[in-house]
Parts: sequence; structure tokens; C-alpha cells
Amino acid sequence: MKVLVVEDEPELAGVIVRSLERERYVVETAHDHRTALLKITDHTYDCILLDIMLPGGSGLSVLRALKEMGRSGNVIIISAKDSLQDKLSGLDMGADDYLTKPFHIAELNARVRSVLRRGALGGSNTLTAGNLLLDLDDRTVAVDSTPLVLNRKEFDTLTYFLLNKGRLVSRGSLAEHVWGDHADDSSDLDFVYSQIKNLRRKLKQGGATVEVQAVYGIGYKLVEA
Amino acid sequence: MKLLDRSLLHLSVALLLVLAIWATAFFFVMRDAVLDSIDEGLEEQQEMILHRVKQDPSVLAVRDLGLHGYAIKPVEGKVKERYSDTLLQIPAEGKVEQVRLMTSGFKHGGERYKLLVFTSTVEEDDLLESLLTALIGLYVLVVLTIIVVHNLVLRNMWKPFHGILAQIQSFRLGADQRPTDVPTDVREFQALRTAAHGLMRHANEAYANQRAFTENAAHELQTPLAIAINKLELLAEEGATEEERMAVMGETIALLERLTRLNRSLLLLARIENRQFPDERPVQFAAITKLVLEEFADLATHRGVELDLQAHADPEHTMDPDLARILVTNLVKNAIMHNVPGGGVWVQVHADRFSVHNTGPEQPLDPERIFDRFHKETTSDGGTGLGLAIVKAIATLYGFGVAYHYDGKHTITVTWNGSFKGVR
Repeated sequence: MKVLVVEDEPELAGVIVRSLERERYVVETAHDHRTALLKITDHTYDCILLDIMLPGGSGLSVLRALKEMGRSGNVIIISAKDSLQDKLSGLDMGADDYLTKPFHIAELNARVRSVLRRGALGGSNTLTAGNLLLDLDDRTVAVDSTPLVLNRKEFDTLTYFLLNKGRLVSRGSLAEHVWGDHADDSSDLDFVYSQIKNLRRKLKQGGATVEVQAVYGIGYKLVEA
Repeated sequence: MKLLDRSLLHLSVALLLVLAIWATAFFFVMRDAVLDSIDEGLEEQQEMILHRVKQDPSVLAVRDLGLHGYAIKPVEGKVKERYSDTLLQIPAEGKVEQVRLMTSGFKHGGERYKLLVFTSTVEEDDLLESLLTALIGLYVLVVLTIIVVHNLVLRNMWKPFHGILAQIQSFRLGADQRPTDVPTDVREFQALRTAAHGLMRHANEAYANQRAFTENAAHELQTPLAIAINKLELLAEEGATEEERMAVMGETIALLERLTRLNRSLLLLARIENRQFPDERPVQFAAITKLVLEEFADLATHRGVELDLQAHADPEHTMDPDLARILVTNLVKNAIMHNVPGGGVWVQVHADRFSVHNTGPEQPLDPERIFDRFHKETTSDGGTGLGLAIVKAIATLYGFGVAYHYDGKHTITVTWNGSFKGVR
């Protein structure tokens, strides 16, 4: 899987690249408008992370060029501007997603994964780990083909963990992803813990070979036992 | 050009026009009156001559008009009586003069005669000339009077205006000088003074608020930044166990997340106040409230707080759906966070208002300050102190009223039409 990161801030680009490389993707970077245009004309990428404000031009014009080539569907816009107008024109031009800075690595990871999964030809819309099979279309989970009943929040939590398999998921990131923007505004994120507790119990009772581990003081990590 | 000179110019032009029209009319009226009186004189003269003709027929032979002042000529037909202005050589004076000539006919002894009588008349040139001289004199006099009155009286009358102007010119934001009173009993200047002083006061208040806001925001950002840096410095030192290091990292992430929230809230406030939410749609409040309460169910359960919704109506308002959600979310979240275990949050949706009641610390909050930015009753809750300020900003944007009161429970009420007693 080949991913292009178009981001002018080297620190942020570095962090994103390191995180993506951990997922074993081939990652290339472009730090300005011109390089980005050159790269997208010369190569095809499975996913492109595109900053809007770039030295030398707007990321939206890169997106336009991609659209003209019919390849704008795998673009995730990452922008510091939480502007509805940018978001709408970006999505209008065929971008797949819009992520406002600052974002959690786990959130970026999950979005990249869904773009790549959708792009994969004939790829089924499922996630697996150990003996666990999660179907995103039917919103069902099975352990060794035995269905596991989860409520909506538990399902979303598990999906987020599976999209970040083996990676650290901070409580703030999880709360924002599952409970929405408002949840992160309560500094008390302990309520996430009760959800995790229920999820762990159900996974254990169902005999799943995956485990949600606590990462002390920060969050959780899903690992295959 | 000064206002004084401009009004003077306009007055002068207007006066010139009025006087010219008046003089023209006056000239014609005057001339007609003079001619009428001359014509009457001619008629008397004619009657006298006719009288003389009856006594002394030799008069019928007078032919020289210039010499006798009249002339009689035998004619065939009837002669119509008419008056005319003409020039005539007067032998006595030896020059040509403008005269008024009366032509009439009469019968004497079966014969028809034409009688011409003249008298010297007013010369239009002379009349015009004297009139013009008088007019120019009058005009100059009037304009001079106006200039004098302007300079002596009006200059004095405009004094309050210049006083207020000087105050506005010397006005500096934040200098906090109270404008001195400018005494005037002219209504326009009183209005100007009120407006100018009000504007200065508002500008100063807004400036003071803005300054306090910037200071508060900087301080709120400064604290977590300082803590985060110190924690990372601690981490860099050797000797910490793996668990301690993870704990410090977790705390640092939490701090930075708090900064992110704060920054987001500040941006949101700025966008609301800059009216950058153009997407307005009909929003059903009961439906939105139901969704928000569902989202908060887990948090409320965790905190041991009961959530209750009573929708007596489903009021609809045209507004940005995101802002409507934020309005409800912030109020509900506020009620959950500042609550006590075993307490409750009761949300009521009415046709004319939306209210959130909650248990909490058993003492009233300051209703004047509760919606202020960064106003916090407790320091330890980790909130941004902007939640209710955002509620207030959204309410202001859409003309809603928002008020707090305490009667054992803390209640915040949003009224759609903005009129509710206690509204700030």
C-alpha cells in the first residue's frame, strides 16, 4: 500500500510518516504544492493525505488536478482550518474525508484504513483479529462464526480498536471517536472505562482470542492473545 | 469649505434668484400702474378737447401733434379707441421722446374725425435702471447682514459642536478618560453629545472586555503549557520506572487535549461572533435534545446522575443545526459536570422556552458572571470555562434570551423570543 503525505510542517509530516510506516505502508512525502503536483502526476497512490494550506498554492488545486485524473476518491484532507466552506469544496471535489488538526494518530489511522479498505478491489468490508470477525456493512461481530451481541457503542469501540490493531488508542481519542465531539470536553474520561469493562467481559465470554489491554494513564491497546 | 461659508453661498444664490424674480414682477406691476394713470390723464385731455370742439370748431383744424399736444384729422370710417407707446419729435424740446399716444374717433357736424392725444410717459430704461440700483443695494445689504449674523451668532451657536468634535478627536481607546460635559440646549447637539459619549463608553467597555479576554485566554493557555513542559522535563530525567513514565505521558496528553479543547472553543466563539455560520435550517429542539441526552447517557450513568427529558412541545427555529446542537450539548454537559452523585438533570422543552434544571452545590451561582468567558466556580473540573459563554454567544446570535436562577436547583432557561425576566 502506497501512501502520499502532503504536509508542509516537517514535524507533523514526520509523526504521520512514522505512524503510517508502523502499519507497513510505503510512505512518501511532499512538502510543497509543486512537489505534490509532480508526485501525483508521476505515481499512483492508494491513499493521499492532503494539507490545504501549502507553500506555493492551495491543496484544493492539487485535489482538482487529481479529480481531473479521476483519482480524487482516496484523498483525506487534513487542515488546520475548521472551515465549512473548505470542507464542502473538498468533499465536492471527491475527497473521501476531512480531518481537522489537531487530530489523534489513532483517528488518522482509522480513516486511512477505511480509505484503503474501500480502495482494495473486491475487498470485503470486514475487519479481523484472532478468531474475531467484524462486518462493517452488517454491523455484526462473530467469534469463530458464533455471533457476539454488542450494543452500538461497544461495536464502535471494537471497530476503532480493530482499525488500530496493536496500536495505542488514547482515551481522549476513543471518547471523541465513539461518543462524538462533545465527550472530549469533559476532562473526566473515566466513563469510557465502564464501556471497556463491558466489552472485555463480552469478548471473554464469547471466547475471543483478542484482548483489550490498558496502557497505564493513557488508554488502551487491542492485542491478539 | 466650511459649513458656514457653504450655507452663506447657498443663501446668496437663493436670495439673488428670489430678488430677481421679485424685481421682474415689481417692474411690470409698477409699469402697468403708471401707464394706467397716464391713460386716465389722456382720457381727461380727450374729453376736454371734445368739449372745446363743440364750442370752437376751429380746433378741428389742429393738425400738428408735436406742437399742440393733440391733432384732429377727418377720416372716412370708424376709429377704434386705443393706446400705444411711440416716439415723437417734440419741437418745443427739440428732441425725440417716448410718448403715450391715445387714438380715438368722434363725429362732428355729420363728419367723422380721428383725435390723437399724447403725453410724455415714463421711460422704461430709466425705470429699469433705478430699480436695478435699488435691487443691488438691497441684495448687498441683505448678504452683508447674513454674513454678520453668521459670524457673530452662528459661530457662537456651533461652539458645542466643536467641543464634542474635539472630544472625539482626542479620544483614545483604553485611556479611560471620562468625557467632560459639553453644555448645550440645542436638541441636535444634545443628541450628538449623547451619541458620541455613548459610543466612547461602548468602545471602552468592548476594549476592556477584549483585553480581559485576551489576558484570560493567554493565562488559560499558559498554565497547561507550563505543566506539560515541566512534566516532559521530568520524563527526560533518568531514574523513573516504566509505569511512572507512562503516567507522566498520559497526564501530558491529557493537558494537551485540554489545550486543544480550549483552542477549539475559542475558535468556535470567534466564528459565532463573526457570524460564520451561514447554514440555517429549521431545527426541531425536542428532537435535538433527545439525541444529545442519548449521547450523554454513558457519562451521566458513570457520574451517578439521572437524566430526564420532558418535551411539552417541539419548537422549531431556523438556525445552524450544529450551533443548535452545541447550545443544547453545552447546557446538558454543564448540568452533568457540575452535579453531585445521586443528583439529576431535568430538561424541559416548551413552545416558548428550553430549560435545564440540575442538582449541584447548594448555593446560588452569580447570575451576572455565570455566562462570562473563563468564569469558573471551581478550578479543578478541567472544563474550559467557555461552555456557557458559547451558549450565551449562540443565544445572542439568534436573539434568544438566556438566564440563570436558583431555587434549590440550578436552572438555566433559554427563551426563544428573548423576553424573559432576569434576562441579561
